[in-house]
Amino acid sequence: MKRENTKNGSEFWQKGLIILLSVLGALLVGAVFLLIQKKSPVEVYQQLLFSPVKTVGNLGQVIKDATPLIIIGVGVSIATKCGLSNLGGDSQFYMGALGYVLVSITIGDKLGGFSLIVGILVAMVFGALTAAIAGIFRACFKVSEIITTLMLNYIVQYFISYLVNGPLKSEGSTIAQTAEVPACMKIPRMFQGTTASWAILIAIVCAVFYWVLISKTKFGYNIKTVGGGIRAARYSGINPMKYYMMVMALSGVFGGLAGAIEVSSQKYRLLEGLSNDFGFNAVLVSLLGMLHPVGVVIAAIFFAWLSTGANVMQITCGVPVTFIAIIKGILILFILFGMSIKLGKFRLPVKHKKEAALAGAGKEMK
Amino acid sequence: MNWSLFIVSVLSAAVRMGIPIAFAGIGVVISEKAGVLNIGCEAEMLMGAFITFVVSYTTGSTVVGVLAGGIAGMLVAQLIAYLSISRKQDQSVVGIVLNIFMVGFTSFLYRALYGNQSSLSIDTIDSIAIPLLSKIPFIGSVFFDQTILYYILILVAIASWYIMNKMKVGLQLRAVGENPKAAQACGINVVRFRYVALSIAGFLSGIAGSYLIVAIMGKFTENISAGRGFIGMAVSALCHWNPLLALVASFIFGAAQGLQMRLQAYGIGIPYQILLMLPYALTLVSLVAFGRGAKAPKDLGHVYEKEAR
Repeated sequence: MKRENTKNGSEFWQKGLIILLSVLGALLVGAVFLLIQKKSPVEVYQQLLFSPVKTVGNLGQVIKDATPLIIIGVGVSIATKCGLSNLGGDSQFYMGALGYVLVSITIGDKLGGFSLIVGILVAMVFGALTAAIAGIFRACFKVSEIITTLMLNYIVQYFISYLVNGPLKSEGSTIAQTAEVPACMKIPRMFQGTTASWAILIAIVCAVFYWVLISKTKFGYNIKTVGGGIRAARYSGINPMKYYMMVMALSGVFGGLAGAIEVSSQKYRLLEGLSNDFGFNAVLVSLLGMLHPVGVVIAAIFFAWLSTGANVMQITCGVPVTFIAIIKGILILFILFGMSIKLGKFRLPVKHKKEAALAGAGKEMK
Repeated sequence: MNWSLFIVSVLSAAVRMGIPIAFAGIGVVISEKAGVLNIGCEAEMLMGAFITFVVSYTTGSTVVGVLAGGIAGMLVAQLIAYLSISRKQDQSVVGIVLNIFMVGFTSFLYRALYGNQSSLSIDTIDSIAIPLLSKIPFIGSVFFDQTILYYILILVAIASWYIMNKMKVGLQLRAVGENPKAAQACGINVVRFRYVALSIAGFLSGIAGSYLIVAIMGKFTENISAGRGFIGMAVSALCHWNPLLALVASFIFGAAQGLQMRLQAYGIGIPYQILLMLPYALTLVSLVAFGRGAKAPKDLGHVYEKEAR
C-alpha cells in the first residue's frame, strides 16, 4: 500500500488536502448556522472538538462509538471495492446481535469463555447469511443490491422488534429487551468507569484483515478486478457473479460481528434501537476513509469524536445533537464535490470501469 | 366488534397513509426509469414538509404551501442531480448524505424560526366527497371521499403512466434508463433527461411531504417523514416500475400501517411487527417471482459518461 502511495504520492496528498479543507469548510458553514441561532461558535466548537479529550469517560465514549463504525465501515468498504453498495449494515448488525443472544440463551455459560467465541462466530454467520440474500439476488436475479439491502433493513428491524416484544422478551422486564447475557459472554471494559471496551482491538484486527485482504491476497486482487468492471473480470477468468455473492456475504460478516460486539461489550442485551444508525453512518465512514483501512479507522474515530462532543455540547451550550448531522452532511458534500473537481476521477470503483481495470492490470505487471 | 366498520376504517387508513407513499413512489419510478436512484427521496420529502409548513403558517394558504413544498423538494433534487449526474458521484452515497443532513437541517431551521414552540399548527384540509360515488357502501367513503391531493395523485399516476408508455418522450425516458449510449446515439440528451426526471421526482416527493403537513399532522416535527421515502423506494420495486401499480403497492404499505394501528387499538394479539414487515418481504419476493426482476431499468444507478465506451 505504501508503495502505491508514493507512486500516486501527489494524488494521496491532494485527497488529504481536500478532506482537510472540507472539514474546515464544514466547520465554517456550521459556525454560520450557530451565529444564526445566536450561539457563540468558539464556545460550541470548544465543547464539540475538545471535550472528548477532557475526561477519561469522554475518551472512552469515543472508543465505544468508534468500534462498531470501524467494523461495519470495513465491511462496507470491502463491498464497495467489489462494486457493490452495502446499505444494509443495520440489518446485518441486528441479525448478528440476534445470533449472539440466541447463543447466550441456548448455550449460556456452559462453555465458559468459549461461549463468547461461539457467540461471535454465530453472529458472523448470521450477518453473512443476511447479506448473502442481497448477493444472491444480485447475482442470480439481477436485482440491485441497493434495493434488497434497504428492504432487508426494515424486514430485520421489524423482526427483531417482534422478537424482543414477544418470544425473546426477558421475563419480568417492563421494557422490550432480552435477558442479560451471562458474565462469561461479556467483553470487559478497558478502565473502570468508562464505556470503552477491549472490543476496539477486534475492530483494529478487522482493519488489519481488510488491509491484508485487499493489498496482499489474490482474492482481494480479484475483488478489485470485479469492482473495476465485470467485463474485465470475465476476461481474466473470474466469475463476477460468484464474487458478488461471496463478497456480499463477507461484507455481512462484519455487520454481524459488530452486532455481537455491541451486545457483548455495551448493552449485554438485544433491544430495539441497539444500532444508532450505524449502517448508514458506516457508508459515510468508508467514503470519508477513502476505502483505505487506516482512513476508515480515522474516519470512524472522527465520527465518534463528533457524536461524543455533541452530547457535551448539547448539555453545556444548549445546541441540539442534530447539529452534527448538519456538519457531517456538509462535510461529505464538500468532499464529494472537491474530489470531483480536483481529481476529476475519484469515483467508487465500479464507475470508472475501463481505466480502473487497466490501471489495476498495470500495477500487477510491475 | 363491528367488522364492516373495522374493514372500512382500515381501508380508509390504507388510502390515507398510502397517499404520501404513492406520491414519493411515483417520483422514484420516474427517476429510476431514467436510470437515477432517488435515495434522497427522504430528504426531499423532509424539506417539502418543512417548507410547506413554514409557507402555509405564514401566508395562511395551504395551496401556496403545497406548491412551495413541491418546489422545495425539486430544489433538493437539483442538488442530488448536480452531484450524481454532473459531478458523477455515487448516487446512493449522495442520497444517504442528504438524508442524514436534512434531518438536522430542517429541525435546525424550525428552531431558528420558531424557537422551541412545538405546538404551532395549521388547519388540515378537508376531504371532498364526490357526489353519488361516495355513497357506494364500503368503498365509497374510502375511495371517493378524500382530500384534493388524493384526486391529484390519481391524475398524476394516470398521466405518468400514459406519458411513459404511450408517448415518444416516455419512450425516450425509458431509453435513457435502459441504455444511455443508444439513447445518446439517437440524439437524446441523456443528462438533461436525467435532470428533468429527478426534478419531477423531487417535486412529487416534496408534495408527499406537504401531504403529511396539510392532511395528516398539521404541524412539523423532527424527522416527520420517518422513513416514508424509503418506503417509496420499496413501492417502486414492488410495482415493477409501473406508476399505476404504484398506487396499489402504496395502498398495500398503507394498509399494513392502518391495520397495525387498528389491531393495536382493538388489542388483538397478532404481532403487528410481522404485519409491518410483510409488504417489504412481498417486495423482495415479487422481484424474484416475476421474470428475474427484469423490469428494473438496466442502467439504474450507473454514472453516465459520454466519452467512455
